[in-house]
Amino acid sequence: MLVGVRWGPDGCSAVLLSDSRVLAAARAPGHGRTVLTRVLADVYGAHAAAVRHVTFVIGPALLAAVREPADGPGQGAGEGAARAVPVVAVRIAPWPARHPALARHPSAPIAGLVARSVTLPGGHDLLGRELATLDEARVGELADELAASGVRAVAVAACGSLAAPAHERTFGERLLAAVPGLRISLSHEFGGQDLAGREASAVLNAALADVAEEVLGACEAAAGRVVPRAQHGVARGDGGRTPLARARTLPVVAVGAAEAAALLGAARLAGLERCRVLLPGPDGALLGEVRSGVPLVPPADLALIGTALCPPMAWVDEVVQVKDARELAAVRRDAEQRTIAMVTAQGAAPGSARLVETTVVALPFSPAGTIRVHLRAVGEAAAPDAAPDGSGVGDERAAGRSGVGGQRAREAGEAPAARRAGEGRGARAAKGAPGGRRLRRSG
Amino acid sequence: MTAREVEPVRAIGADDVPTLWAGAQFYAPAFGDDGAEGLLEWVTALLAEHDTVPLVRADALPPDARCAALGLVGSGTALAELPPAGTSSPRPSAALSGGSASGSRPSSRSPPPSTP
Repeated sequence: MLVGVRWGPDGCSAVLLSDSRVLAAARAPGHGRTVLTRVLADVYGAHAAAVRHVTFVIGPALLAAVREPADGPGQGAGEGAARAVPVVAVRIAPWPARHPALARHPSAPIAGLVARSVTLPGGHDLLGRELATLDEARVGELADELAASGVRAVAVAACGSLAAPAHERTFGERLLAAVPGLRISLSHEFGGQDLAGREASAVLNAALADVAEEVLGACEAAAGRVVPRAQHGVARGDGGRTPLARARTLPVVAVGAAEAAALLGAARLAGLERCRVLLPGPDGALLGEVRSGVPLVPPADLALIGTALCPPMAWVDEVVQVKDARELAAVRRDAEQRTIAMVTAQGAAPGSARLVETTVVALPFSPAGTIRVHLRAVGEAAAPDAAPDGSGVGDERAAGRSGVGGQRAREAGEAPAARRAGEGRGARAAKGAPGGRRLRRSG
Repeated sequence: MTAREVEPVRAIGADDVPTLWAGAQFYAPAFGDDGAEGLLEWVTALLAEHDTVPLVRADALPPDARCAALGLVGSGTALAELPPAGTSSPRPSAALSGGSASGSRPSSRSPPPSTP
């Protein structure tokens, strides 16, 4: 049995699924540990012992915190006082922007979270070749300056960091040495082949740390009390699920999960393995695509059904340069193996992972042999006994990144949350399986 | 409404960017909206800062007017990874007008728009 739980703007709700049937649904106004415990207890009834997985949707709570002023009431966080914290955004690029519009983040909600923007010389191209040397002296000066400023959260985004994260890591380590315990988000941890997107992910991740800690703490406490033997996971913006413990360190992956889960739930209702979905909503229609088959269930809350069904998921998106077809085949095989390993790291049962999307295309206007490889894989959730605390393991350790050469942009395995962060980009949900974008109503 | 009823456009400003974007989606042979948010923000900010840009019919220009159409060719993926810093486009513009990279704006010296 599976359970989906949503921490939404109007309260908390949950559904209990067994195979293709909704066995129970519950809803309660308010937020926090007590409300979640009540909703979970209501929906479980006599089935608690049979529940294998509990998946939470916390994206709406996180986005509510983004919309609130830093000193306003914490409606999104519920029972606590956690707020989005102001972030210092450090961009590492070969040259500084000459115009303020080029220097700040183009998404207004993201820019609103940034208290200060700084550019450091450095960065790499898509294949990991250094474009400018990282100025060690300037790195040290900035780290000391930020340490003296009392900053709490820093987001670092370097050009080409998927291919070569060294500049981000060097600055992050130097900064951490200057300010032990500082929350630092490095953009290469999130994936996405565009600097603005990764920068948004890093900013959101740093800003939402306190809010996520509070919300996830309540989720963990409620689930631990009602169904301690089940695996506890968090729905991601790309339609997958991640262990709850991992969401504590990368909360941005949960942003946009409600939309992705709604697409998944709709596909389940329609009984289609691969389909496009158009869902009406108060803010416009949600358009998306689902590529993983699901059986039919009776009508109910689509997002909650989808939340319960979110599979372990991982993806790879990288740019490589190859000499011939043989080398391309080897690159693809290597990427496939890493994607499968990453799904297992996200909690998939060994042997259950499968590729659901493979795209290998030549990069236009680039040197011959420059190829972009995009893979996505899903798996069946492992039995709770395999990871009783639902903690899972990190992608990097389990996926064995060491098999990847230096001349390529590396994978992330997490949602490119920037694409859906806040209102501007946030109107578009994740692409992929499932994924979509929100269409604005005209007229 | 027919085309004859539409007033001729004599200048474009920050408020026109959404309309231009919609038209580009309609007429472009290929279109992708990755990175669109940044492009729209940058263009809007520049137009807001420099006021409107006059549109001039080619036949209204003096015969000896020097004209240039500046464009960008390259990989969208690469552009998204290394966004412009605002240093590239002034160079060819300055070279054509014989000024420095940070100096003249030839378009601002165009004659006022004529009525078609």
